[in-house]
Amino acid sequence: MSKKIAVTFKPYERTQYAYDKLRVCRKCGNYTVLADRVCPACGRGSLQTVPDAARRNFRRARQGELLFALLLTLLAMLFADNTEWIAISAAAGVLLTAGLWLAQRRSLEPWTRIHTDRMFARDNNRIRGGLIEDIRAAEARLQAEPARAYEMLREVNTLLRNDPIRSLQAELLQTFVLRRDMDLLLDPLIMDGFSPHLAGYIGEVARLNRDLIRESAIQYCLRYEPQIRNMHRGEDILAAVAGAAVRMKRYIELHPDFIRRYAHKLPKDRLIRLREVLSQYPDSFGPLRLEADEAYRVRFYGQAAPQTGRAERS
Amino acid sequence: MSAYLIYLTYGALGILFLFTGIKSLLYLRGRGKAPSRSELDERLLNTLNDRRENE
Repeated sequence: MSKKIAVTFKPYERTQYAYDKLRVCRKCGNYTVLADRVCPACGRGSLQTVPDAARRNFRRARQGELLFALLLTLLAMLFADNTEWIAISAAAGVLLTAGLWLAQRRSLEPWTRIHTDRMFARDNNRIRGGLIEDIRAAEARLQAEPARAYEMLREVNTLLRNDPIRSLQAELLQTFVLRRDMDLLLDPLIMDGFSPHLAGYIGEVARLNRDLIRESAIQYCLRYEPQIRNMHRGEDILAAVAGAAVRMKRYIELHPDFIRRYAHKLPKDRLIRLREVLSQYPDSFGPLRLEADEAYRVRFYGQAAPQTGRAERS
Repeated sequence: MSAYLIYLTYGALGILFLFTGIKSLLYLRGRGKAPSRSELDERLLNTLNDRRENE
């Protein structure tokens, strides 16, 4: 087993929408999620967010239309044969151009979104190509700077969500010494297929920060339970996940059999927590309650358990 | 000749009126059809992750 390396990660910057991470270069049109200002393709500091680029395109179109309207006004004034028509042309031109400007201004935000949508549709291949270049850049750092490579893959995974990228991240994470204070992510790494690296990572996360164990992680463990059991210390992984699941009554309701199967391996605090939750619902969770009580008796009193099974908690 | 030039004024004003009217209408109508930010996000993610994962 290879030795794990101590690393530090930059905290993951969460954005409201995934595309908030995406940047496009004003000069070369390259898309990336790995930089904020300097384009990795052309090296110029001309990156901007896609809505900003769309707003810029829209502003150009708006300015063109206003210029066209003013040009028509000037033409009308130029060919007017008396002062009265010059005045009428000027007034009509100013009023109509002002009306158009106002309409543009009032629809600025919605039209920026429309232009953003058009950019996404038009540049779909280019966005994908940019993200693949980002992955290559991360792969180039795998040996020299694995933590940085992980951070880069984590950014790409915000938009490009597939098993190979997730698997590579899970594999990298398994080579690091993970700590409780790290900004770890789990839900974005949940794959469709089985990965022993991901299973191992889930087990570590369950021990370090059980709040990260949510429905998707539990479902993953349920789906691949036989494979995980066959892994080295696979039962410990599943027990850690079951232990994390008992923090919420909802998970106990949804997965009582899963928790029951690993009740005997739950850490003491998790077992106590499970029994506390179960004691609030005396008419439910029959088999799980029996298993939890049995595990509790064995854990705290050994095999020769007292009949009551109720012990004071220290 | 100069008597006909006024028709250019009429024409320019007519085109201006139509152009600004149609454009204003399109802008105002487009407001209701614009996708929300979450719809944009969803569409982008769907298009990017729609294909076979063979990269």
